[in-house]
Amino acid sequence: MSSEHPMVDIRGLSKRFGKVQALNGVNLTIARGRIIGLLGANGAGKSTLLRHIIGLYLPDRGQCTTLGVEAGKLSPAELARIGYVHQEGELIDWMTAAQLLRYVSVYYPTWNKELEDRLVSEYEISLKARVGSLSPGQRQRLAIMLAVCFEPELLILDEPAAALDPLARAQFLDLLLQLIQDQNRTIVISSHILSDVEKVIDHAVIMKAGKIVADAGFDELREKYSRVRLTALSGPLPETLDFANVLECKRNESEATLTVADLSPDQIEAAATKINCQADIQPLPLEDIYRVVVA
Amino acid sequence: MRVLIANLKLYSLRVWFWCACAALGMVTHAFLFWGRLIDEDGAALAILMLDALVLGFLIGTKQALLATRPFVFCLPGRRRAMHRVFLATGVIVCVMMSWLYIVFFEWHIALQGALTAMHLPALAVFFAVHLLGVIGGFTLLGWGLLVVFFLVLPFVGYESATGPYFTACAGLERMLVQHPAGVVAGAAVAAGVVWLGLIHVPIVPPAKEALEGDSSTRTTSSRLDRALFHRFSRCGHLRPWKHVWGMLYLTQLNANWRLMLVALLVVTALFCYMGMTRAMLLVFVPLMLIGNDGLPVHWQLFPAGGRRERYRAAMVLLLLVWIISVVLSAGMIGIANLLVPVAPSIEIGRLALVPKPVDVRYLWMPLLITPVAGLGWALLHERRTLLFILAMTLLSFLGVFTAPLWEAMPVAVPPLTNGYGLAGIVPAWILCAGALHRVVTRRDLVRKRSSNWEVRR
Repeated sequence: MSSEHPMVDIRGLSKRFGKVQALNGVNLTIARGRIIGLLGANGAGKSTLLRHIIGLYLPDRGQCTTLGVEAGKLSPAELARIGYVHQEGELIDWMTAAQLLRYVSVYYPTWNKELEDRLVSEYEISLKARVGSLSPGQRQRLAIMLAVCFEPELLILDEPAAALDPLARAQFLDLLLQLIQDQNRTIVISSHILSDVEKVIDHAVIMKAGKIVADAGFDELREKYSRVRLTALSGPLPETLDFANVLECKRNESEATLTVADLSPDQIEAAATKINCQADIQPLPLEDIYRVVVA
Repeated sequence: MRVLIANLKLYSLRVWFWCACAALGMVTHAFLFWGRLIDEDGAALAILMLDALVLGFLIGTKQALLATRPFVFCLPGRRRAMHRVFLATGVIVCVMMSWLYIVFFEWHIALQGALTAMHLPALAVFFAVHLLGVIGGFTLLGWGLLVVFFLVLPFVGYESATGPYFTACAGLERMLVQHPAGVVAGAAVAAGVVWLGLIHVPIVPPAKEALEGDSSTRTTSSRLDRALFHRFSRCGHLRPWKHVWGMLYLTQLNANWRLMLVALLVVTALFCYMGMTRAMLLVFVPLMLIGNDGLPVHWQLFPAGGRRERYRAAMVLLLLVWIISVVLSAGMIGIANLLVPVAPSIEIGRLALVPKPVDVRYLWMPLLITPVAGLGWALLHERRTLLFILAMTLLSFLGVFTAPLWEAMPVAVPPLTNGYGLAGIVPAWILCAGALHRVVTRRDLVRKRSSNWEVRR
């Protein structure tokens, strides 16, 4: 990824917690207007990376620049342009939902009261209920509201949908799709629910053991990896399937399913014809792309 | 046996447990050596019984926290395993306590010769008391109350030195010598009753969870709340004080001031009767204010406040605590001195409460302790609440247990209130501000909730 005016620019970022190397020489540039999916297993370093972006963590080595400023030195002016939902969902328990919304809104000159009212209604937030008594799902919704109602330029969502039920997740995705309409808004979303993420992202960053193992446009990834279903046109399949870059292969006598990389549809068709097979080419869902990349 | 060892390892891996034991050891040492208690009949027994109770409490609390984790419900024989842990730890603790007791007893000339006969009865008594602590920790009390217990312990111990508790322990000690078999039988019955009670104790969430669940008790309808919120909302968006007002609105100082004031009024009424514990109390006023809510460095939310704003807010809060501590202390000293001419002398058994004037120089203690507490917080609290509280407690013990030395001086005031103490205020503030600045600008500002209580070695 590259851009003249990146929202976030990370160079050689390393972070260690005791014996655990949480981040190891991470380089990442996040351009304005992108919707980034940050994917990885538990402990891959996603949350650590996101916390560096907003300046809560300071790097051991390397640097992280957010909105043109060293992340650790972000001032209120820059921070007022960043929304953040963190996975712990810690809020101020003694306040009512209304009080919390009012309290947080005071920090932001751009707070959108109409959006707040709409989300309160859609998310069915009980304004009189104390935050401490809300269910995990409601707390998560409230946290999302707090992060989006001031219409931040950079929205960082760390496992925002983990506590949401399927219906609430659908609502949340709708909200994200609405937020995406603003061309200047950049969203970084970290989630394990890949089937949801793939509906909204245009770029995927995959992490493993503190390193970025893939950083590419989602379309680019979908073009790179394909699933090919081969059916023998006559007789059994040959013992050797002459395809390049095969990542996975499952087969029986007359059919085979291959996962391949860096092969165009024409190349696949040509290879299939050569072994007298019919090829059915399908793009890989994000979940499978993730599995292949991480493997 | 493996299950037992696995359970016992839970204690060996926890820094807090050893810190608590170290604190307990230090208190015991202070009581037995520095105080004049060693000359009192029953003093050593009284102190070591308290120790056995507290250790039982610590062990019981840990097992209760473990027992309420959902996965533990599925473990086969969990109840039996817990009882084995209580028995094993109880034996270790009580052998140690009875050994200490006998060692200290050697100085008690009058009772020498009865040592061998007393070992078993002492062990039985300690075991019964220890079990009471276990059941207390397991069922009733949580971490918040444990901390309070630690803070209150020196008051209770010191003021009870000549009080009914020690008188009762002296009686018990005489019984240990004169009727060892009777004591063993009595302690065995008591321990049996407690043990049987323990077996039937329902495993319920301990008070920690209950306290956390009840964290929404604060209301925001007070005039002070409204005034602070008004000030906060009127402050311009990028003004430097915006964050400070927001923090002041959030802080629990604001929430608990009424309760605190009532507590202080009660204490003030008794202030002129207190001996050296009044110095202790003045030390704890700023400690309680800071320890109650901490400094606003690790925010729960992520509102638009950078590191510089967090530092400013933390320093403002510290200054505020400083002022409040001094004002409260001045009020307590002033009222106590006004009460001295009219307050009656009170005698309860061997305990004589005589009103005495309070030296105004006591006021210097909160002046110095506030920045020291801020420094302690900066160095420890960012990761370890319990360590901070323990460190501050130990610091206070060091100050207070030199009390007999102060009393021997022509002017009986604590060492902190001499010229050196006063001269230390400015360097303490410089160190505190420097350390806090370093924490806020150079450290990570995310603190795991669990690390407050569960510190791995």
